[in-house]
Amino acid sequence: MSMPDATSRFETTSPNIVTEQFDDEMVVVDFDTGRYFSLDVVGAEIFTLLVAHHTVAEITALLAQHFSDTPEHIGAVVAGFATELLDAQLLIPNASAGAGDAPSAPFTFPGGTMPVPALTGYTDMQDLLMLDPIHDVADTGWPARPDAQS
Amino acid sequence: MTPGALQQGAGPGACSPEHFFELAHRTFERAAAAAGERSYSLSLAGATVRMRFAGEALVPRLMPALQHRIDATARAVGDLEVCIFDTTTTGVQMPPPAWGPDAYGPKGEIVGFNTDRIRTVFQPGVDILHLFDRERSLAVYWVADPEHVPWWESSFPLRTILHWWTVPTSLQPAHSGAVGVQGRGVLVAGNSGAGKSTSTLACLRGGMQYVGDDYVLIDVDRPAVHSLYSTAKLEPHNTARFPELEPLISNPDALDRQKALLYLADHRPDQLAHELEVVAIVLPRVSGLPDTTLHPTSAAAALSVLAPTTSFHLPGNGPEVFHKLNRLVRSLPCYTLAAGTDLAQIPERLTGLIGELAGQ
Repeated sequence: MSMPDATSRFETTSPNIVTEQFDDEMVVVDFDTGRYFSLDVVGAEIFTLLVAHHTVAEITALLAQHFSDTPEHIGAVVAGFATELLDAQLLIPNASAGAGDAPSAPFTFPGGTMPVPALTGYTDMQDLLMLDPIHDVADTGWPARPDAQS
Repeated sequence: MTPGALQQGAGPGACSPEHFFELAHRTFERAAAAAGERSYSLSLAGATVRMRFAGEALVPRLMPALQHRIDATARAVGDLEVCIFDTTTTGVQMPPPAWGPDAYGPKGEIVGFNTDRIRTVFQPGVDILHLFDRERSLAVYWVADPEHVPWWESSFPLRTILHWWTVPTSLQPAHSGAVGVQGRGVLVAGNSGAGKSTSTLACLRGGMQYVGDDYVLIDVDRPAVHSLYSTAKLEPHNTARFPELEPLISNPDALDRQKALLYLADHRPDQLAHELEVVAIVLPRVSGLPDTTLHPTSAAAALSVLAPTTSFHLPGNGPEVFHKLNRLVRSLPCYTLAAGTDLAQIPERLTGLIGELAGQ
């Protein structure tokens, strides 16, 4: 997916995406797809701001107050991470969203050079959501067992 | 509503979830009248689960794993009642599904037949119909032919219904083992292949209390763990590491296609614990090294193991499961168990951990 426009706003793809923030990690589970994710502290902060309808440009401005990197570099990192989140189908654009509220708490991570935010995805549960297609039904109306079809 | 009127309601698009549930329940009652009824009362976490079987055929497939929870003193009216029957041996046919072939969703959830009150699952290939009416705490479990019940169902029978029943409570069936000493224990949580069964069976060998190796019932708020199933499962290639258990395997002729299944209520009743206070969560991984070591890990790591493997195995209410298990992991210390090849060290380490935590 191409980089998002710096002024685009987003929302989570589904209400079945559930998050939990810990001190230094966020756990995200997508109950629609069977995928789950771990975000580091910076990634979690960016994700939280994006789902609260902040644009890449707004998040860049916030982070530029905290990290010593140039705004151009921070903007590229944030846009790249937003692309990762879009590719992971955790976010979708929301053209009708209004401006996000200001963050309720200051960033807790150290300043200095901005670390690259990390999104780690896990797919080992996806097979459990695979549909077993119905090939045939028995006279009773219930799905015929595969071993009874030949 | 007469059975005849209900029968007329069957067929795709013909009736509501409540109507189909009622139809299935009435069909169970006819099966019980035709084939005779056997019932058992189980005590689970202070509640009574009443299991009603129409005929005998499914009893040996579902009850051995639960026999340690049978309570002859429990009251006849259960907090949960489960009505269980098959068609082949009772001669009573389940009415046709009230949905079409496109309604079978992930994990067998029937689209349009899962509401706040009624849950409906039929997973093609497994072929067990699970129905639950939350308002009445009443469930129906049907399979066309008892021979169709897959072997693994005998190792964790009714887990889907128990999951639905416990949704509004602090209880949660969870994909985890649990072992302990003197009434205190640890959850042993991990995906398949992580070393969960090996670790719990090493603890059994080491004389520890055993609650389960695969699915246990957790009270996330106390926290406590209750034994659901008296079973232990072993990969066939792993049985050689537990030669003392080989004579206890219930399915020795099927190990080319099934895991070895043991019913410990028959063989280790004194080590089966009904309930333990939980003092920690342990995440095993096979280290390949001789020694076993414990390392503190984060609650996030524990949630990342416990929540997906539990919620994606069970149909529905995934976010509720996630939030319950989140409460649990935040209330307990969590550790990685680097399980070594010297299996005797596993119970030694866990016994030591439990002792340390109990002393704090």
